Amino acid sequence: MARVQLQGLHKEFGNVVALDKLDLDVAAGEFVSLLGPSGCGKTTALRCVAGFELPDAGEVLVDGKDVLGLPANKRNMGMVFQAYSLFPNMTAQQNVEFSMRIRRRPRSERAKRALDLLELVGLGRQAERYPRQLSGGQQQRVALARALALEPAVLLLDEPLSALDAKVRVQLREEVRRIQLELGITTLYVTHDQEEALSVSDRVAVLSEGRIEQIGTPAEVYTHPKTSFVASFVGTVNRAEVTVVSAGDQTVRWGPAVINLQRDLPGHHDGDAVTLYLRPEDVTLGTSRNGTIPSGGLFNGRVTSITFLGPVTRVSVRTDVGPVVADLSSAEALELSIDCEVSVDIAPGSLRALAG
Amino acid sequence: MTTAVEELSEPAASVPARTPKTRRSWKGGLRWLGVLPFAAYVSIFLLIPTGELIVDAFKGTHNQFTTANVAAIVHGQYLQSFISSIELAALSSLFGGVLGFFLTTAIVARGAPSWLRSTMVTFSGMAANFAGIPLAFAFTSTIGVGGVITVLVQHFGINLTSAVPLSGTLGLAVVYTYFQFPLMVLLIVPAVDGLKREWREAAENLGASAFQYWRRVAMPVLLPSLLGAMVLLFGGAFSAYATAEALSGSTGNLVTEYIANLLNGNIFVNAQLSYALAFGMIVVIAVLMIFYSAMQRRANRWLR
Repeated sequence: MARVQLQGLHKEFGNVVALDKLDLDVAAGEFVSLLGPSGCGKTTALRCVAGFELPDAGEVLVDGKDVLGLPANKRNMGMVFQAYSLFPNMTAQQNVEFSMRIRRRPRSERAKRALDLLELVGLGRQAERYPRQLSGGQQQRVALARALALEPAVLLLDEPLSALDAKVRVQLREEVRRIQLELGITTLYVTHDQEEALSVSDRVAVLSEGRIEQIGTPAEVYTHPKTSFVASFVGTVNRAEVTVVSAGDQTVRWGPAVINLQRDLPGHHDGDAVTLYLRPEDVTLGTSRNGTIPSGGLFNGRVTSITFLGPVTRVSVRTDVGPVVADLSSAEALELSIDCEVSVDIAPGSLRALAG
Repeated sequence: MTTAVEELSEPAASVPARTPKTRRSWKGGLRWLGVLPFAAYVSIFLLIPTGELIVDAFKGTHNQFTTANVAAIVHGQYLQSFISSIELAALSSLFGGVLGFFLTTAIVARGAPSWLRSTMVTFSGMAANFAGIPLAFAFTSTIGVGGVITVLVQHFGINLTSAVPLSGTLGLAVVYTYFQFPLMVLLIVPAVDGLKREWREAAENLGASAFQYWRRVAMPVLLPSLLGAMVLLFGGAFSAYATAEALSGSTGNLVTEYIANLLNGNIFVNAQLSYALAFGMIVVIAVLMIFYSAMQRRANRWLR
């Protein structure tokens, strides 16, 4: 287990700033995900830690020691790549043994360790198979076992599940987390999949344009996004263009409705126009049973689309204040149909103001 | 629930197989039509002449069956000509192969300027076809007896022609290398391109040096392609004639030169013996192919 610190990491490719003085502190044994869209710098950061890129400025410290002077093969870090990277001329076992063979470990020791690791990733019976005889998910499991063979101080995972199908992805991410917890290894995980990041990490760092927009536990990042970028990238949000009625009373007007935010609006005065954010699961829809619109909603609207997502159904509603998206339980959504009229309400305290 | 659906749907999917299969085989039959011209060409200009040549190799001057011709080529000057041709082919394939391989890794390497690659590939396409009399002339006029460079270095007391005479095996190998290494480049650029960046980085991440990566990962992966390319280089050099004839003239000691001499009467006309020599060349190439197949199978076992 090792503590990893990225201090003022800066990297430019031509005119493009890939990393903008990035700071990150990963505690020993912690699982931190770098989450962001393509080109936000998350892979560059990981490659700087691994030793495949040299930053223009900044430091990468492992247990307080700067490792930037060390080549990649001396950093004692295990890495799993996005693309399948198993050596095609070696069996699964030989792939896992590779690093131990390089270090001239005795044959019996490395065979035992390789088989133990393959067992750990659930591939004990596939040890003699070549990569082309394994599925994508199995190849990434072997890659994980291979990365763990020398008991590295840090485990780096660069979108290891992005090439896999949805079901395998979910299964494998849970296994990655199980193994990480079992071994207690410090892990940096790069992904653009917010669900993946939220489900496996101790903390999630959301990156945009080479900077960390927000870092926190998955729950913090999701429920208390600090910026509009984080709110919109992590999950889905509704934007509400409101006018401050009384900053002191914490009330705003959203279309015809006056809403008590139940929180302060620092920096805003009465009459200010503000954009607020609202998660779809905080929206409730009242349905008409006998042709009448249920009362008690903030305003009314018409259903424009219904998307079944399994346990949840996403419903889009056209209202006078703009489109509103609601996530309902699929059982609730059965009562709805396209173009039916609904009343829209929100959970108390769910409208948030954000920076940025 | 899901299992039941899968179990029910599987037989249903396999029932209407007859019609598409019939259509497929009909289409396949049509596709084979495209191969016909090639098959006809190969039959007329390769298989039939080869068969005739093999039969003629076992005929005497009065068309009687004899093994005398074949027996003659494994003795004396004819055996020596095979040894010389194999030495020349092996040496020039080695020179060309090694040079071509290093050049390819240099131009395909990450960070190499793209103009270098395109320039070298274009040059290779041209140089690989530069052989025969023009190639012999190019070398004679530069490092031959009265060549520009030969004369130039004579001022520094270096006698180039006695060091590496162009008509000798080493000299010819140097000349052949001119078309061998570009051919090697053309043949293995796609294979070297196929080495994934992730393999190198993964090896590095796992503690391997660049040498260890090449030894344990890249070379084994490239081996089938390298073997194939080397066999092609060997075959090309083994059967080459014009360049060697132009450089060595009547002193030539290669199988191809003996065949030419026996056919045009430079020594004496003995077509049957030349057929036997040609048959010997086929045997050499066949042995090489068997060796190559065995090596290929071994190198390819992870691909099966």
